[in-house]
Amino acid sequence: MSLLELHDLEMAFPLGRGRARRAVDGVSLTVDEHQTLGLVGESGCGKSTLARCIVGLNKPTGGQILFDGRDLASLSRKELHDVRRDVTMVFQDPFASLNPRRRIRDIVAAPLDVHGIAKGAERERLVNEMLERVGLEARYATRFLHEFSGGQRQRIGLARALITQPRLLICDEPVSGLDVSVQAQILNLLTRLQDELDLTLLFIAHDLGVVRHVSQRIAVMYLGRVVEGADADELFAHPRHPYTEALVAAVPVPDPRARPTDEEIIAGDVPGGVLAPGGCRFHPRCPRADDLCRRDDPALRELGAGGHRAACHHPLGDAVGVSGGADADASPPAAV
Amino acid sequence: MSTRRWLLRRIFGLILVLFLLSIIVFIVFNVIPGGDPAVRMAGRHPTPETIRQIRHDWGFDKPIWTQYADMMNRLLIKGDLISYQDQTKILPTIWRGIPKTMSLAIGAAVIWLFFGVLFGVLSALKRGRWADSALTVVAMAGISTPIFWLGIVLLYLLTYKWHSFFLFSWIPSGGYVNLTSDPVGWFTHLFLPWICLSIVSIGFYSRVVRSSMISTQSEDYVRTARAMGLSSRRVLTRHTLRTSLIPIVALFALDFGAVVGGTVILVEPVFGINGIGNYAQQSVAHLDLPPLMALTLYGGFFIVIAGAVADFCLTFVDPRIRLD
Amino acid sequence: MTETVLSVRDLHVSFRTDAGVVQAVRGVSFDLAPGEILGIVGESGSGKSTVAMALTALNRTPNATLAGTVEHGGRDLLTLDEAMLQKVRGAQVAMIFQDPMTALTPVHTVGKLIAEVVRAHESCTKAQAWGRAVSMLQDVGINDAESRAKDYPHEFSGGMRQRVMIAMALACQPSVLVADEPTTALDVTIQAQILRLIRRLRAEHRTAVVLITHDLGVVAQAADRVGVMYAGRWVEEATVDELFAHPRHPYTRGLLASVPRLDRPRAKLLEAIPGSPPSMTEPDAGCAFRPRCPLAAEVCAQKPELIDRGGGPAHRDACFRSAEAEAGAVFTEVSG
Repeated sequence: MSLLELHDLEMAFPLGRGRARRAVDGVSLTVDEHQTLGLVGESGCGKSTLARCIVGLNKPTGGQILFDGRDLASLSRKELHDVRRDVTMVFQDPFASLNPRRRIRDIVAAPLDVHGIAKGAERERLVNEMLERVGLEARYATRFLHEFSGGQRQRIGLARALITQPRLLICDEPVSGLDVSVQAQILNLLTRLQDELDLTLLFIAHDLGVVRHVSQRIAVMYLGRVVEGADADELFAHPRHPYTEALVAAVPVPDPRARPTDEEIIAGDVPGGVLAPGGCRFHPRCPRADDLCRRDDPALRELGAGGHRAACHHPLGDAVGVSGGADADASPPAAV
Repeated sequence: MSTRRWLLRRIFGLILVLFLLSIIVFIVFNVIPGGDPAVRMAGRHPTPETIRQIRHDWGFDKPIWTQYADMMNRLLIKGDLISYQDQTKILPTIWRGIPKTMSLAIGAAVIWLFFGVLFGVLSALKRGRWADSALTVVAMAGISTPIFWLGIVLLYLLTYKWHSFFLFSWIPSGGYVNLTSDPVGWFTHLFLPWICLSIVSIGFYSRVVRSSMISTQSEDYVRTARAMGLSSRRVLTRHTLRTSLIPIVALFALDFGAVVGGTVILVEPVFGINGIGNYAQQSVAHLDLPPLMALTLYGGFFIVIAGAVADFCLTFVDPRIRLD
Repeated sequence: MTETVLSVRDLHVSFRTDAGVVQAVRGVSFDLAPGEILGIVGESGSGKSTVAMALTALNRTPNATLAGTVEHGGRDLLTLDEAMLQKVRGAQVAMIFQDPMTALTPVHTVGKLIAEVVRAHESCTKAQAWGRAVSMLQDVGINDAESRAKDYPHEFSGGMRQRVMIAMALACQPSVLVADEPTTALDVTIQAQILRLIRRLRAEHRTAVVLITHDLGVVAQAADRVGVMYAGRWVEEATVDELFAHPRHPYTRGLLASVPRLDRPRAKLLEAIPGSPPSMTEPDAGCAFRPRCPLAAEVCAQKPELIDRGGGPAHRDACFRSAEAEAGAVFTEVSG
């Protein structure tokens, strides 16, 4: 059962004179209930913008967001307000995303106040319960932020995001700003909370190892599009898109015997900003690119069973030089 | 965008601003009490007959937009607009005043730029020490001082009370001398006015430079320059100063425009310099619309131009900035 | 006795702050051989960046105290005055920093920036310095170096700017390059390129490199030897193969166990190190890792010494119970 569906979502930021930065350029994906979908990509891929669209911080310029089958754009203001109880977000920077002037209990209780869920003693009870659940002592509720470390602040952010008992939790780089030894604690906490609270997670990060650890399914983004989507183990065992392969090869593994060869290290820069039209968005850096790639923007399509999808004319595992054209027409474009 | 397009846009903007300015001045003048020029021109004990006659002669009984059109026509096209006060032509007076005002403004600008930057840099380099505190006090005093008050006080002290003291005896008590006819006289007559006009800006600029320097000093690229073994002097001049003075370029252009276009009004009357500022002050005192209109447009022109010059210069000084 | 190009003995660095005296580095000693890449790994508060800056006394301010010796070229750099140090920096010991986006003066072209460094240390004409700048840009992999040298820093991407920094640092052929988190702010595919560049330049110019990072993967991919820092102290040191195969200090083991790795099957929970990195205003007189160490005992209240406990290639650690730790008493999910 899918809890969240994105259909051809677009978010373009106007740059004046008719040009626009297409941060999200036609993304379709599905998040099933009680699952974790990991969204991974480098800078400029649009993953953070995507998250902000879902949660309502940006208004998409195209496409649809369906939560629990309902199109968010068709909802009234009140209905949308109620949806905010069910879809919450944890942010990257635990030092910037919480208000240092408020006490912990007010920070955590803010969603309760906004939605009018609880007051007085009940409010206090919920706050204390949530603090304990995220591994902090209830007596911290009266303190201020500056007394806490990065890891603790991220726990507070989690408490705030979970206090309305949401169905979908979006995590935008929740551990990137933390020390390595603390990252593991927060990841473990997330895993535990997902079990206890029956959460669905959309986990966004640039760290492949972290994303793989947390997710059942993973979508790889590049320049505003999803270029590959598969189950986590399958994606790493058999990447089909050349970018995914390059990304995996580039991740430094803590094993000195496994150093990447020169061929595996991909050249070129991660492009940002306005995209030149024409062809597959990865072709300038792709070792397998040919004329078809330069001409035709490949759609995301099924490659075999198990829901493994990639947007490539010459996916890995096919022989190079064999055009994917014929097959592409056979299966319709798919969502991840 | 190309320079030509930018230029055209700015010129268009200039015309628009000046047009709006002229309308505003005209309307304000026509609604404020006591501004009826016919009454003022009629002299003592005017009869209603006289006033009506004057109104007719001068066209004050015509509809307001006709008056406006007439005035603008005589000001901009025919160039023979005359003042209500003494019926002299306006443009020649302005023309004669410009070199005096420019001498005042440019001289003061050089002074305030030099000392403002110097004090600011010293303040930043000696941050936290007594030199910084002393300079801060000087800066604050400068910023808080009313210019015209300072002018009067200085005039009183240095040309009257303590005039006999040799340090001050050379300072004249007002007036203006042409540069070409008597350079020394030109200098001595402008000395006090320059000080007056620049004192506020020295204070202001030294604060701006100080804070710009302090924030630049902690930038990563200054750390890089140090780490590469560049000498302290090079790091200071080519990296810290060069970057922290960028905002000063824009600020200075705008300030200069404002001074030429307006602030001189505070200094010239005090020192008896017959420049634009003096003319403006008199016109305000007599509620004399025609010169006021001309002077407002003149001021507006300078300020808008200064803004465009500031933007233009910035593109040279900071490579990250492009024309729009 | 092997040659050493840099020899640090008993380095102590402390800072006077509003919060009290911060003892950032508490007695660090290590050697660096010519052409060797020494990786220094640590989290926030470990003092690794402070060590890096202290090598050329870059952080010597009125509020800082630097003690110990840094031997290079037959003299102790810490005894030199600022003018003498300026001759050493850039020419013999060069440094690059973490965030390339803000590390280059925006008002000068990159060619001028590099040429300036050359002329500061060598007597040559403007033309010669410019020529060297262009050839350095080529050397670090910037195409079209001749014309790119006339571009300003903001016209380069993050990865490119880091290459420019490397070019600046190596322009005068220093014998030591100190790289403080050079790839942390970069995308992972760009990171791989930069690490490969550093290794290539090391081979070509025999430059010794001190590579500071918090990422164990980076160290495994790029370093020859590794030092682990915790709370201002050097807690373990070995060749990279030895350290990853047989980590001894519980903190090192903890770090290795708690990082989600692409080369291992996914586990449900990570073996996290409890607690947070310590504040450095009141450091522990004994072992600073005590509050977080599963093996902590009475003996750990004394100050541990960095000792080679034998039983293999050169491998020092500062733990009284490292033999037990190595045998698997803690953090078992370590070696692959």
